[in-house]
Amino acid sequence: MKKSLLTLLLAVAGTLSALAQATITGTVLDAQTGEGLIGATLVPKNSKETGAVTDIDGNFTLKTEVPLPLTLLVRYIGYRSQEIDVYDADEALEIRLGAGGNNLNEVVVVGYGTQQRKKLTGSVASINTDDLLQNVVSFDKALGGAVSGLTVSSTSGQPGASTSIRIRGGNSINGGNEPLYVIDGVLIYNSSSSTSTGNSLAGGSFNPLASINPQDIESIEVLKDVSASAIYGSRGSNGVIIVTTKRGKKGKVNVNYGYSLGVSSVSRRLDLLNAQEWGDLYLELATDAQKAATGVTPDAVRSWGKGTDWQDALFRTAVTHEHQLSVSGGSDKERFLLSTNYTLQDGIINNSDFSRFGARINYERDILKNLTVGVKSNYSKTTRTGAYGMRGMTGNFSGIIDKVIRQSPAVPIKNADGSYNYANPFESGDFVRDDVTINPIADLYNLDTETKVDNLLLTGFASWEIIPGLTLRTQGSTNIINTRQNLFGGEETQAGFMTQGYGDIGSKRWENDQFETTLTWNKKWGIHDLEVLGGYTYQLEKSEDLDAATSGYANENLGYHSLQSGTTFVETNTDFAKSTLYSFIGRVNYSLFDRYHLTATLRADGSSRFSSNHKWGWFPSIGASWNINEEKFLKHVKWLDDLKLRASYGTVGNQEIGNYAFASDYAASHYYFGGVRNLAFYRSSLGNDDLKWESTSSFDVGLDVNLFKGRLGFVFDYYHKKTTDLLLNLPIQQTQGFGSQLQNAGNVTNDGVEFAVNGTIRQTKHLLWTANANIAHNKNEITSLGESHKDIINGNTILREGESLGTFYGWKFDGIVKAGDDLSKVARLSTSQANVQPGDAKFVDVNGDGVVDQDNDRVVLGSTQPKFTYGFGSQLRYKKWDFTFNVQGSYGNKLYNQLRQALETPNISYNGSAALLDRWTTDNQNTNIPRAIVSSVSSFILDSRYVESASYLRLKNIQVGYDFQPRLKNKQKLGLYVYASAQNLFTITPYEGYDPEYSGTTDSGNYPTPVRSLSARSSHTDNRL
Amino acid sequence: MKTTVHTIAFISALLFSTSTLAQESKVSIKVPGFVRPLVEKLITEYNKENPDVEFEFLSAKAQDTENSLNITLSDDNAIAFARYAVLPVTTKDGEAYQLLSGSRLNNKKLQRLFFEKDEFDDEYKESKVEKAVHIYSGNSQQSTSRTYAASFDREPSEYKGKRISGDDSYLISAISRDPLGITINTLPNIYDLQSRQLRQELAIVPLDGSKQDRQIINEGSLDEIISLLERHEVNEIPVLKIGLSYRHGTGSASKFARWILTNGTTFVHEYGLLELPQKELAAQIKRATTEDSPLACL
Repeated sequence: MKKSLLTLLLAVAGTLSALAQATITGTVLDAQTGEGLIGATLVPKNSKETGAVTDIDGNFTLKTEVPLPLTLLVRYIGYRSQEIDVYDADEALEIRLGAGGNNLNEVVVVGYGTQQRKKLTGSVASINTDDLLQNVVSFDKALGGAVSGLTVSSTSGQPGASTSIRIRGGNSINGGNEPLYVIDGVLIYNSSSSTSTGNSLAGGSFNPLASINPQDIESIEVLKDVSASAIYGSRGSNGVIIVTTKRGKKGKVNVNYGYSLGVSSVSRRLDLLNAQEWGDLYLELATDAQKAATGVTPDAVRSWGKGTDWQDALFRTAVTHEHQLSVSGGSDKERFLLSTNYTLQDGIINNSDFSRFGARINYERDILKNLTVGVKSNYSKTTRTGAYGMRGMTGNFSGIIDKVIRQSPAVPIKNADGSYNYANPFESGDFVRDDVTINPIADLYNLDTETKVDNLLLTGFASWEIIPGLTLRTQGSTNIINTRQNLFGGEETQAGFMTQGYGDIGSKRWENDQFETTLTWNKKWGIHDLEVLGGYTYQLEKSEDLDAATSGYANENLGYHSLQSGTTFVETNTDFAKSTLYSFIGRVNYSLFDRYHLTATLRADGSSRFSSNHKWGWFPSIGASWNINEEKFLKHVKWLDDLKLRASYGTVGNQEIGNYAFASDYAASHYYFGGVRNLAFYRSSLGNDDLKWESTSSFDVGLDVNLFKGRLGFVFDYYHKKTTDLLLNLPIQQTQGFGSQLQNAGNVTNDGVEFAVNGTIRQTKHLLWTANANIAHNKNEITSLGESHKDIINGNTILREGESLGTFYGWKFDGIVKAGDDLSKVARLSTSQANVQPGDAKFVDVNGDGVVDQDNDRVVLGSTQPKFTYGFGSQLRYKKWDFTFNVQGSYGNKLYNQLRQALETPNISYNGSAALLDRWTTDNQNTNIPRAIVSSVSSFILDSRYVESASYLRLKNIQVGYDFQPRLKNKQKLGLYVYASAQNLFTITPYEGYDPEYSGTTDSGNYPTPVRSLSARSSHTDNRL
Repeated sequence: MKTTVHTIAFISALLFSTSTLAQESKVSIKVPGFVRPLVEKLITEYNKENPDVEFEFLSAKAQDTENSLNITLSDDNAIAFARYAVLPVTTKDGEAYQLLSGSRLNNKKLQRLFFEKDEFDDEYKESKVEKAVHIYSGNSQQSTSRTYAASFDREPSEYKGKRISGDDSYLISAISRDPLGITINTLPNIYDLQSRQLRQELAIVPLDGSKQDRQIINEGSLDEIISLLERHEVNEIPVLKIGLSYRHGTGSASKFARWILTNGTTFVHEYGLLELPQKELAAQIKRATTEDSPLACL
């Protein structure tokens, strides 16, 4: 009886309990965008219930035993919390949260997950993609000036050319210094080698990142310190840039179309001699025999006038068209984004073009409530034309651009009949064949070049929440890049000039497969918050390439489509390389009281790029942060929103040393014996079984501050990085058959400070004015070059302990020898046999032996490393108008302006700079331009006059836009945004070349960065579907 | 055997058609709480002339049916048939009323009282009273808080204070528990429809305006205030439209909607609502007739 009564009571109690339970459903949305907020928490106030968390679309279902009416507390990081009194649960709640101004509360993407900024222990910068990515063809070009400590420079201004990015300076001498890119979880090392086929004449480096349409990008995060990047172990030493592409969202189908039209031109022109000025110089330099041969007389020179402006013929006003269409949407269970884009970009040099067609499909579906699968795929087809290299003898020209600029203004480009002029009486050397010479402007049109790249990035993933808080995620991806580079130069072009035509085809297939599985466990109990991540990743990189070339064409009509038409076999090379990387990753994030945070990371990498003795590298890091403002002693300070102190220490590695660097290589070669071509193999490199990882240990301490309800924010960082076991080619005993061997020997340090500030200057209902600025100082220093401590001189640069990477090493200019100077006391140049005369250039004779030579008298002349880099910008929104500008710059970096050196070297074949008008003469002694003499001895020697300051301040982007948003029937809005913008509108720089923003050490006539003077885009969003 | 089959088929067809007809003559209605008494009255009157038509009230989250008629406050495309006024209210004995008693709130001050989005607004300095009071606003789709916010060109998310989920009548319950509580509500919820006087526990927040207007607003009966608002616009009291949203055609919902427009508007004052101006009502009737015509429904 008792038992029956108890059962009855329990049943009644259970029933009552069930009856008391209410189910509240609804959606939490961003008040401004209307998009669902994932991860918002809803808890009945003053209850001990765990509440509910919104799903990927912002939906929630809350089962509660708290009787109605109850107060629901809705929280979401980065948004103002809301309290809602729920009186009945009949209607689904729609909760719209307004954004709060608290930067530390935003969620940022970190390696293998996301994290609340408040809890970060590392230095992670987020980039405002909305403003920055509208006007660039490739997203990496937009990063300059946007993040403190990140410098971007171009390898060339040619459309599609790659960029060079350094995060907190360079760490390595022979290894890669580019950061790692993680695009939707796929690790990509931005190396132009993945698109280099061996046919280098067909075009310079091609940027693989240009395959990603910037308009597809949702967010970009830059992981700068070791706490953030250590999870990428051997690939994180140069920093990490995480790119996440957009995904569909639940709701109506959203269609977005954008079109932009841009016009660009060269930012500056060099001041060159006109025909008459050059003629006067010619008359001064040329011998009587030379004058007789060319027929140049003073009268003839006077009749030349300004002559031909070859520089003007080189450049054009270029037009860029971009179309972009995307369709996105989703339902309760699936989300999709389809996008396609087409870009047609003219280069500012004639006949250099770039086109890209791209398509993206991002799709994911919730198969079960706790199981989501998806794919992200991106395909792009890019084509680039235009090539400026030289084949064979170059006559000390760096390429066709250099050749055009220095072409004699006394020579016309075309004949009277409109045909190209191939008779230049002043031409010399290999550019003359019988009476025919090359015409570099004709080369721009007649050299048939093409680089075609197909790039497929395909990712599939599954995410399974096994139990609440425990998620298994697995992802597989492949990145396949197929590149073909074609080139044909007829016998009138420089490439085929000496060989009756030249054809070359290069082809490369590069692929990178990646598989990874991670298990993440989140647990929050009381004052503790723990996240544990463990995983395994595997990467396989393979490349195969083929390059074939012939010359001696009897018929040039088929060009490179018929290499067999060439009578002379030049070369056929094939290559194959493969590397693998196995990794185990682990990370623990722990928070106590929601204000003390700890991150410990460990990654073990096994790379096939290292010898069996050092295949595995272990890369640990630890970081901690403290939200000081949440302590009792600061909680009452109302104007202080956030004050966070961060510190981290750890070690990362660098595996970007190329494949098989540890192994002894054997190469095939051919030789002729008795008129017969024979095959031979030779040992091409000396292996090193002890070759191991370059390791970078780094320490970072940072402070994040937000004041006045997010209106003012500061981020400050100090860091010290030390890279040890640098891979250096060190001299060895010649008895081993080699002059040098790749060894782990040196150390490099980078010490720096970074400071970033952002603020809201004024905000009213209709007006929002914000500004941001950042500045970074980095001191790069070689602290060791191994036991020998010897300088390593590489052309015009030197590796020396105490100096930085990229240090110039050359003669120091000491003025001009004046009339009346004691000539016996002026040091003679080792390169000249002539006696010193007034008007000659003087250089510092460091060792005082009376001769200025390369071995004893070169000195350090500065470095490519900037002392400071900075950026600042402002955004102004008034009603539907907006105005934005961004400025970036660097200070203290040097660049060798070899083109200027060549132009200031008087010559009877080629044109020179207008600076030569100020050359030393007996009447003009107060000058730094030496007297005019033929074959100036210093033309090949690095001279401090031409190691120029490449400091600059550049208006990177300026934009004015208007957001129409007309309302249609049914209250639907049609987004229509129109803007006009200009890129690189002005640059303030003492640099005398075309462009100071160049990634190399020597500017010898590079493709200049264009100024995009006008650009307009209209885009509209239609959500009526 | 053949006869049996035919009989079964006939009965089945009859049952099916009966069921379908019944379905067609049943109108499903979604209605905000403060309009429901009026709609119930309209149904009663309509059923006197059309006893075959059935009505059911659905909750806001229920799926629409073929014969749905939604009484809506926010659909600009709906056929308007009446208007409602929204006023700020508090409890008569509450601290909030005492704090506000000396003031006369115009539109600008009302905005500052209710909304907070411009917390960073350099021109915004929150007064002591604004800081002290507690704002309650409705969170549901049919809440007049949404339309009130829209009348200021604001978003509902910009309201200060607490949100109340459920019918707007709960807003009155909420402020009755909080002496500092202020909310906004419609005339049917703040006036006693029987006595035609302001509910005893409530007070309208002092508003700006002419002396005569203020006197009516503060002391007048429901009918006087309706008359005032129909006579001329009072800046501080938004008057908004109530619409009928339904699938146009010849269905029961359409017929009922047209009946409301032609016969039902005479009841709106009784239930605390305002009539549409005659011109506009005529336009709405014309529109409904046109859109319900078979040609328009093609």
